[in-house]
Amino acid sequence: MAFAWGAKMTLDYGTPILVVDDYHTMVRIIRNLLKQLGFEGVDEACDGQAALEKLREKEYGLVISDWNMEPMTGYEFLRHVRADERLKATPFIMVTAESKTDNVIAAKRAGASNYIVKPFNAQTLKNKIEAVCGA
Amino acid sequence: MRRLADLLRRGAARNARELTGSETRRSGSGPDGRSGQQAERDRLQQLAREIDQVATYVGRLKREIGALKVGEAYSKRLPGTVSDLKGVHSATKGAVENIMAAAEAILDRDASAPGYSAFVAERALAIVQACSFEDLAGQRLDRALDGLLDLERRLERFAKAVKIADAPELFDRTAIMRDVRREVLLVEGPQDAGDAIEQTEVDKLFR
Repeated sequence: MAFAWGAKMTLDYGTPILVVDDYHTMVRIIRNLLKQLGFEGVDEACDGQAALEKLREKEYGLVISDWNMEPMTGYEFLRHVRADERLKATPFIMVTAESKTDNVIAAKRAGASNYIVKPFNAQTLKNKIEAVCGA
Repeated sequence: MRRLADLLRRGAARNARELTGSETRRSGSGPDGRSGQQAERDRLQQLAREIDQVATYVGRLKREIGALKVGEAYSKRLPGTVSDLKGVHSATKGAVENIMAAAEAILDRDASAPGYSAFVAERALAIVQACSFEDLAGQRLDRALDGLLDLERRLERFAKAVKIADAPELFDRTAIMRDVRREVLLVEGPQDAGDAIEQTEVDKLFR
């Protein structure tokens, strides 16, 4: 069953995406939404440290990460990614329940490509991916 | 404690009697000796009054500790609350699993395949049934909330009755590290509706 996404994005749907969240249900939701968008190559990690290891093993076209995770938060993970010469250009969307202005500003300063506040809908995810990956 | 106060009072009374007797026997007793004994008697009486006050406070403290019903809280109330909250967590997880499975099955199905409508209807019904968890979870949450409010009332009554100020915080390494982590890494978790920033505001900050 196809979801009514409207105009197709001019994106590379073959690009691998890394979804990072310590709640498996949230990974599953994002994976389903990405699948409906046309992305099939979705990997997952349960915290920043595990995600960094995956990023160093394989090239990803987009990272979608939660903030509040242990032991390494999404914020720390983002800073590691931006500090790494090989990884620093990877588009990075923060998807989080952290909904204070301070968090948004900190994420932007740390180099987040975009920021989605939970709970979010499919259209918001689509819009942010388009904005970040270039429609 | 009351007994100690009585002993002190009796001591003060004996002191007074001796003072009076010695005055009768030796009318030439000097003013310094008499006033010294009187001061001693006053001190004993003051001490007895203070011990009485402490005894009254300790008695009240005991009654209020009893009213806290700590045994009942630990044996019934708190375990019941924990059990209800765990039950809600478990029911929510189960419902999410069922709803997700049904939704994924629909999304994966070819809409042009024969029997598609019946398939979707069956899965939709499964989703509707899974949502019944909300009723049971709601009742469990209400019960847990009642338990917590009851404990809050008992503690509030106790704090008012014994008029005790909060003690300075004890050194707790785990709590300190948790607070530092929260502050440095900006980890707060979900905000209440009025406090949370809207997606449109986030978007403005990212422009």
